[in-house]
Amino acid sequence: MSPPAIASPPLAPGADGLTTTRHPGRIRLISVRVEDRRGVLQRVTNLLGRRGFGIETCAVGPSAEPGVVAISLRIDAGTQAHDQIVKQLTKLIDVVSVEDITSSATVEWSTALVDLRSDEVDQAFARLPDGVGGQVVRQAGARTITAISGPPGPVEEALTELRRRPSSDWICSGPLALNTGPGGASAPDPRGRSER
Amino acid sequence: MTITATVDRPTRPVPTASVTPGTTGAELLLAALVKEGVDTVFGIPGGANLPIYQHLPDFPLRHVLVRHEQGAAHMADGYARASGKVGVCVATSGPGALNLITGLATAHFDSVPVVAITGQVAAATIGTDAFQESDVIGSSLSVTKHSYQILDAADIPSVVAEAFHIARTGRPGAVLIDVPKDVQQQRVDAVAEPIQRQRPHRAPGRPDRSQLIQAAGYLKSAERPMILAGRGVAISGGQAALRELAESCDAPVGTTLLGTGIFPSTHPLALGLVGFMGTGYCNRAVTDCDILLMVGMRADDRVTCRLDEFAPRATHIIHINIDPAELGKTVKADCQIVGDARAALEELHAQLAAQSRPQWRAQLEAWRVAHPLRHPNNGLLQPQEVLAACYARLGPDDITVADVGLNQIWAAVAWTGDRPGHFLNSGGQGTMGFALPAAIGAQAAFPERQVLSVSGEGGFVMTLQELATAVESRLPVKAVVLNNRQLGMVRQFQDDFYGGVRSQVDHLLTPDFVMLAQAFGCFGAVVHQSSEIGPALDAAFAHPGPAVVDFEIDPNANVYPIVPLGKGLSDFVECPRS
Repeated sequence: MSPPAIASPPLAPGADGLTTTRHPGRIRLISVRVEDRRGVLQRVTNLLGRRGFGIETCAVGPSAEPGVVAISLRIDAGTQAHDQIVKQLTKLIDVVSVEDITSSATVEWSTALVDLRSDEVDQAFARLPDGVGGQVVRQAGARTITAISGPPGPVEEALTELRRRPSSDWICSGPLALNTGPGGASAPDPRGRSER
Repeated sequence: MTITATVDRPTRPVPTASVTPGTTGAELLLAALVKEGVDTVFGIPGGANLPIYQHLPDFPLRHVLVRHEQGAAHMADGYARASGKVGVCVATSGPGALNLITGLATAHFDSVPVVAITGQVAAATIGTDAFQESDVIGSSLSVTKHSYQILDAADIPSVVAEAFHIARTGRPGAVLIDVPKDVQQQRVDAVAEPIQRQRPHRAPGRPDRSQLIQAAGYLKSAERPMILAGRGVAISGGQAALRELAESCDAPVGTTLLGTGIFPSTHPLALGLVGFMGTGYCNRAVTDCDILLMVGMRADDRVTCRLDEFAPRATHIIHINIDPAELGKTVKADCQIVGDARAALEELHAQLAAQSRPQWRAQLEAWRVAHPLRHPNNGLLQPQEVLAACYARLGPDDITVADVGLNQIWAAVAWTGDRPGHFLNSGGQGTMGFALPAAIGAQAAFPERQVLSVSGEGGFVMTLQELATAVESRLPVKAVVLNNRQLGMVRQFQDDFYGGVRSQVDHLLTPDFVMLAQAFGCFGAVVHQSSEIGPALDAAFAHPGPAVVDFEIDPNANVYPIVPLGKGLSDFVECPRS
């Protein structure tokens, strides 16, 4: 059975995942591009952890550039000076670029895989918040695996709602973030980022 | 779950450079070290690096056989600090590699270029808890600038070349190369091309000129300018530029512990050590200055003391550092300049015409008179008289390495040299036990110079097994032990800041250092009173090999001035008048 098309309810203004997202000051959205080398994720997470930065979410995967891996991080800087996130990550030899895109025009997008009772799917989809789309990925008898995706806030809201269904189980990715403004996430640093 | 084989470098170019067919990884490694200009390595052989040692005699490398790997790392560090070259240490896997960690942290924290080469269990057994396996990459992440685990011997030349480049370029630091034993034995016919990076590792370009012009404007307008300088000035070779700028601005210069020697201690503008245990007149000047220039230093808590009382009257603070991450990390300088200290100082000097500031100079002199360095005169042996006698016997090229604790501050404050690279100590980590092995490393770099290790008896016993290394490798360091039979700085802290409760600071048993020295084949002497200092030192210096002189100093000798914990720089406490 082929999955049906994404059932996307109409988007409410500001919940379309295409408008600028702003966070409270201590929560930073960091886009890191690293060379695809063994242990590089350990270097990034070790550095953040030992300097007192909490990683709330971390999404890792290939980028458009061969040999370069893109990492989207949402970081709780706590009481630490958050400019140190970019400055310290920049010093890692395997890091190609780092950008704090908290205040930039970004698209953020989260995806969750949700395991539902098949007879609850329609109701669950009907309750999805504005901006969140749902899709059936696989139906196997009484259970249906669905994917819901959208801006991180509404997706979290949807998952909160799903918590009330004890029969469901889900896993959610950290937000992927792409800088859509001028000199976006993939643009090289004008200073050449030579400093270590 | 699917487990896929890890690939070190999916995009790497096809190996092209050819080598003598059948060359082993160990030979490639040793050849790469020679190519980098390495002449001396410090290490210990063990199960996982034996292929390297098998081929070591075939290469023009001096190997100093140490007694503990921490000693190897400190020796490589001392060698690098003294010579400016990259220091190299070698250890086997497991405990050997882990024993390097303290030494690597010490070097890395103080921006010293050191390359560590560790053996590792065979590649196929990594991750299986094999005999003497340790995750040295994971364990060393926070104490190295970068690290490598080589899984193909063809990568060895390119990795070693990049490792040395990274260690010595920009802000120097420690780099670790982990080589599994089977990779050391792997035979190759061709090697990989140099590593290509999306973002090559380079030193920063010249500091921003418009910022320097702005900084020069601040200095020109200053009534009470002040310069603080650290090891970055020495690394960049900027001591002449520092002196010219200070003289041109008529600005006094204070130095960090690691900056000891970058400004002549006898210069009229020299204010000596800044910070927690700095001179009173230097700390007063920082507190009162209206324009502060900090160059080649981090400004950590030992320098600033209470941060919100650091340079409170400064209308502008200029901070120059090659590492952008150090700018704004503690002191929020309004003028932050990324770049090489020497280049920045030279450009600043070029921007400024000579000025004289007689009022400010008069004030500085008044503080010198009001807050002189004092020590008790109670008939007991004082560390200051011992150090003065030591320094009087050193020539301008000779090297002093201080340990950590009271001895370190006494030695730095009393230091009379006028060049960097001749007074070495562990600043950032404050690693007790550093002095003796680092002195041995410095001696290996400069066999013809006199190298002095100054430590307390607490730090000395932490690494004294390296006396065997010194004797065996004919590295005739002279070890001065300022013996107060206690962990002196801790005791002073307990007396002054922790309710006077002396807890676990007394060394009820200290060895007989004369017998101990003799047991290692060193010259040994003990000094109880002032009149014995000169003869003991003369005998130690005349001895052709290593020597240990135990100075039984006043057990209550403290460091003064000292800024009480939690207080500002100007709240320093001075030595009570005797």
